[in-house]
Amino acid sequence: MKIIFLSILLLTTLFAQSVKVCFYTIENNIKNFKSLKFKFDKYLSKYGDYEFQAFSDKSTFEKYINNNNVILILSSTHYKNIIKTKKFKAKFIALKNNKIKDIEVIIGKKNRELDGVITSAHSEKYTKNLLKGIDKKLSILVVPKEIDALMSVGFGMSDFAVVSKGSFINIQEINGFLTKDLRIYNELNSTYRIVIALAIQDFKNKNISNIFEDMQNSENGQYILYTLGIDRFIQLKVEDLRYLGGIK
Amino acid sequence: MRFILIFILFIVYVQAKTILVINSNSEISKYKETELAFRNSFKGEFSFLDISKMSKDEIKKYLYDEYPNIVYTIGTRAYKYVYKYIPEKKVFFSSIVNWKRLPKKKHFSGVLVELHSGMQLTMINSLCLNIKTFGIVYSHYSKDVVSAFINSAKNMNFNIVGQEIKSIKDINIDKLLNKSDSLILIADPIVISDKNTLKNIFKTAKKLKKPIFAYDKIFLKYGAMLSISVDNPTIGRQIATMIKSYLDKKYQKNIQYPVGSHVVFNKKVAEELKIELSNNKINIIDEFSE
Repeated sequence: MKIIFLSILLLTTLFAQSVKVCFYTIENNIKNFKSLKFKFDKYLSKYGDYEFQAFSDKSTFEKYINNNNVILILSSTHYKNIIKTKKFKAKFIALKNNKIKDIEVIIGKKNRELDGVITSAHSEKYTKNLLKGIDKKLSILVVPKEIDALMSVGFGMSDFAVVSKGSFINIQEINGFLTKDLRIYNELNSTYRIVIALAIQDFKNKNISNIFEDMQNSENGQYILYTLGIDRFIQLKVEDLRYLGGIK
Repeated sequence: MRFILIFILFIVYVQAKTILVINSNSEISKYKETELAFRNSFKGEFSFLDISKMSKDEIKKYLYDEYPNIVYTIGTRAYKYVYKYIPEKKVFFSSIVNWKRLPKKKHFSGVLVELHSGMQLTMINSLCLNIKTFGIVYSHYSKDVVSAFINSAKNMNFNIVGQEIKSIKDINIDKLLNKSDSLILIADPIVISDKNTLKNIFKTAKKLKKPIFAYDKIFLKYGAMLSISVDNPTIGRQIATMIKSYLDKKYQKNIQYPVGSHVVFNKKVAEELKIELSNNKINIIDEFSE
């Protein structure tokens, strides 16, 4: 009897499908997915059979999450769109500088016409969306990081930058000389930061909560948070979840 | 009527700018990355040529036969041939170390491979606390680089302590590091010419617990704490934007510093040297060295 039980257990273990932590967002311009996957898998291994999977294509991501045992990391805007057709509920949201929302701003040197080259650390598609209704004369130049975008304006390599307001405030502290001639031209829409959505049956899973709420307490977790450009994940409040469409 | 139509088509044909992209060698990864990013970013049509396996005469013939309006050269070899055979054309260049030493024309445009000194100091300042004095060893080849660092440092209340050398025998790294909190390693052809001298620089810096900031991640294996280098794909996108601005007749700086950086950090070295790191709220690190 014991042998049969052990065999079943062994077979179950062998054929059990790991839970995939699926990541897709066009907000972050992450180049080093290999390193992120390595750190994520290492971090997740402490919690059981989980595996990180990054997607660079939206439709592949959306198809994949239909038929699999998954946890989603995605932009709040994307979540708001897919929640209409898919059964996931956002549970965690990214926190940075004690805020779960951010405002994107257009930065430029004083007294300039909104024209020329605008640098952005977001993808071109996302930047175009952000700039909708602003001006068509701007050419988007995608750069690796927000600090690159800001410095390119400060040192005269581009005319404008679209960055988070928080990053602009931070660089003012780091290099006051560079930013003394810069000003905010436009404040764009305030948006929620990235969210983690779970299948309904996983919503109260304590192990999953530990994965995302304890990230800042381990070195690998800190690396992941740093790469995502956030401080930590916290639980979403009911009113925020309702706004995002997670509660009908 | 037909004649007018043909005439209009002829004028359009004559005015359409032909663009040629020449890669010195597409198998070199940094050139390939730049080329791919350009291809993905540039919206217009262009011809492409890899000259790595072509003879001088073949390149000459191709350039004279094609005779494009605009040329984008990736790497030094491509630049030199274009300069030699069709210098009258509008040239955009990238991926050339020490471009300033090459022959050039006023109408040439391009992106340098050296990051703006102020950009590098800002990155370091956003990561490290209490590092205010930077030592730099340099020869006459890099005088302008050091001058740029001195100017940028002044604006940030930092100090640059320079040590000018004529040969590698003149390097006195102990003396320099005793007067500074850290060392910035620049791509000076004399300073980096000897492997043993480089090893000695890193060994002394480690002994004196002073961090080294390098321009290439290859120096992390010697013991550099941070490397700040140019991001090659961004260069390709930057050139695409420059060509677009040129075609749209918009003002742009002819010679530009790169806008994208690639920063690799060796945390282990920082811990060994007990460097106080800031709780930086803005991401500057792209990669952690293992």
